[in-house]
Amino acid sequence: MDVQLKRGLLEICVLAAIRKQDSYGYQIIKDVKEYVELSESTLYPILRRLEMAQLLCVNSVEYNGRIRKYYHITERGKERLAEFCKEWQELLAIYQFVKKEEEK
Amino acid sequence: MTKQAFLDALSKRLSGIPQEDRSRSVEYYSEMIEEHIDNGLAEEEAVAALGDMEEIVNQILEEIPLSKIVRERMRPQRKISALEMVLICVGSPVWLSLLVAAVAIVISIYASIWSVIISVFATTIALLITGVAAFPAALFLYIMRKNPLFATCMLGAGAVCAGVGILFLYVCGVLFKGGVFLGAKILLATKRCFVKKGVEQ
Repeated sequence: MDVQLKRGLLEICVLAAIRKQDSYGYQIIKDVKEYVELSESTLYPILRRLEMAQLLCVNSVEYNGRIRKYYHITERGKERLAEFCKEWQELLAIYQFVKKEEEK
Repeated sequence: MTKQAFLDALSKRLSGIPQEDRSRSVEYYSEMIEEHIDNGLAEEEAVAALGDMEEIVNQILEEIPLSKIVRERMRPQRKISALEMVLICVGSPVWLSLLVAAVAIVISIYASIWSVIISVFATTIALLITGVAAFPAALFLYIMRKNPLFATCMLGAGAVCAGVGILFLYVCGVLFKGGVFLGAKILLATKRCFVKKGVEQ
């Protein structure tokens, strides 16, 4: 898959992972890994980019005597997810049309 | 490798980047190691699970703009004495021209690669245009000059040009992707160059 496309999609995955509730790095990787390969080193730049684009924000919370960073999705982040779903609804419709024509 | 050894090594490899970005990265990986340990891995295994150090450093560097790295490198690491100041100014014709020459060399190599790619583009366009232009030319030859032989020859040549041109279109696509990829690699290498210099200081 095109590298840039994969990166963009991984960003969407991360946003989706924190949509319903705030999450932390390790948990995000666990959630996303079920669907697509994601490593610690790949996640870091994604989180940075999302933070700089203000699609998420970071909170430091104390846990077990150490600091854990929790990531919280912003309104802009939610809009980005909605945009993505809309784009892919159209893509899915086109795909279904192509499959149907193929099967004829 | 122990957790502290890993974090120290990472911090050292990143000593060329701004303090803020460096501590953020180190904190992130410290957290990741702790999470692995909490989930049952031994300290050494947790560190190993993070993967290759070079890959980690590359991923961090790719996100920091080159300008930020250069600015950090330019900032004096320690107090510069008056003598050092004088030496730097006096020696500037030497180091400044060397620096400009080095930058010029890198830019010209990259530019020459792109000029080759652009010539291939131009050749492709020329071939395609020739292929298309052959038809009216052949028609003209047949009708005006009453020369069917030459006209057919022209048509044939045109078809060959068009065919080769279409093949070349594929080559253009590959070359373009390659050029862009190369550009990204050069940018990353330049960043690493600046960061490494920082380590040596």
